[in-house]
Amino acid sequence: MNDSNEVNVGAADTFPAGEFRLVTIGRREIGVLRREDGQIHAVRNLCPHKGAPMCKFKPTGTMLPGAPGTLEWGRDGEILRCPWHGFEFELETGLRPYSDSKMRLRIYPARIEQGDVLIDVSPQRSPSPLSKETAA
Amino acid sequence: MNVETPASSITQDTSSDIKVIDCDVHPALPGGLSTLFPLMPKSWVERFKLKGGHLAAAAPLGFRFEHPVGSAARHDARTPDGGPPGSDPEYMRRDLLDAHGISTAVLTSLQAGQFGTVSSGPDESAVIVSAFNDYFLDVWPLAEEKRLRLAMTVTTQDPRAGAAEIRRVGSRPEVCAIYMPLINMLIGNRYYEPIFEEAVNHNLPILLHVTGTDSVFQGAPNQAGGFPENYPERYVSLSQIGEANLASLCFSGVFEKFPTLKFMFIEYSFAWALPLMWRINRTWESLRYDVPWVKRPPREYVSERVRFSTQPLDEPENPAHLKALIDMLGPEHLVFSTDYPHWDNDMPGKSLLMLDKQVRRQVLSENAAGILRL
Repeated sequence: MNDSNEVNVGAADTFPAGEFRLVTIGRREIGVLRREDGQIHAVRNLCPHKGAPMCKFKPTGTMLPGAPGTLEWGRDGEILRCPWHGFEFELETGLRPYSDSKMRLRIYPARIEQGDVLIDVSPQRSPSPLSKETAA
Repeated sequence: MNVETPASSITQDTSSDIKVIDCDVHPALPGGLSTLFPLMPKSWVERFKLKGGHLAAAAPLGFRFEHPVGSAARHDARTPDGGPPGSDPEYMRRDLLDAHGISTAVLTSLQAGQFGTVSSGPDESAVIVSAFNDYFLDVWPLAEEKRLRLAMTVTTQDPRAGAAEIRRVGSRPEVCAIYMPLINMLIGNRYYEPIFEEAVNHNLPILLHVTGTDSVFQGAPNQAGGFPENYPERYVSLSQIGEANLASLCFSGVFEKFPTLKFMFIEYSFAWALPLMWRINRTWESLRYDVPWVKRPPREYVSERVRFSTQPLDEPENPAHLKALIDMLGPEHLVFSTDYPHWDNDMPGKSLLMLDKQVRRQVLSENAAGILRL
């Protein structure tokens, strides 16, 4: 990690636990989510599919793949669902769960140091290829 | 979230100088049908009050066909005071028109379409649809906000009443098209002719759009093959209704009976139209003598007088395939639409970017300007 690309976005206790608060870094709008357990997440507020706001609603869970006619809800709090077309992304990785799509939501490494939230806006080390679908 | 930013500001195609005519935007009532009571004759108000006219939903879908997150309207498009998406023209102005650079938005009320087809009786439907038209023409700021134009709704349960409604408000400059919500009868049926005659008299195109009651209620159009079991099944096969109606138009003789009448197929998408037109033309070449009133190859009528909305855009893995399909179909057939504020909207800044600039301009605005009465 290149520390010089870490941006201090303010005291952690100014971020309400359990819901996104938006911060702007350069031209990026980033949703910061502080969990009850102190874990911090930073997510670009931009769906890679069609540009919808990804941080308007709290993370949710999803239905796990299963046999026809059965339902199993799981992964509570791990999934972000786009309010437009419903695409789901993992909060940890930005990847689409249960899909071979290359589309990836931008997740930034984030941490709390001396009570402040630091977001690393370094370019992704292995940039995910933007899905071809986004050009359609 | 503490900071409110219109989502749309993110997707605006600020680099583009292309005008955008959005052929599919859905306004909504802020409350139930009682919102319209001040616009109805007193006796009808009393009738609807007796029947529970405060109803919020014109056509409840039940769990079988309700959208998996509870509403086909985007949760993030609720109005600032928490009202239904599409119910506040001021917010629509900011969240759609300004944010996405829309120069004209065609308002089509699906609520009115539901009452006009299956959610009320024939006489009730005429009264309710008129009140919807008056609400959007006079309570919404259409006189002042010229970017918002109305596809006025007609009842299709009583085509003579539908024709009378066109005579009543169809000359208003805010009206750009006639939303004809279909009952379970194909568009080429002569039953609809009173509506077509007045559409021609008023130089207005007929706009077709699913009402949300399709395949759910008796009397609404049904999809082929049987009853779908869930939302995705029903959703992906709604285009069947478009297919059936395009075939009906091509072989019924409507194009000859009404030589200037034009049709817009909205929210049926368009990829299906290419192979269907191949088949329609091929069949006409073989069997023209069975429908001798179809005097020219059907593709010629369609090319001149039918337009299909781009939304919901199909998204093949390789966008070049969609470009090729549009080339094959002919981009002159397409009009752009967002379907705001619904979940499957296509916003202009992220749509059809693979098209050449002139073709994109044609699809985003020129084709619509050529068919709407603007």
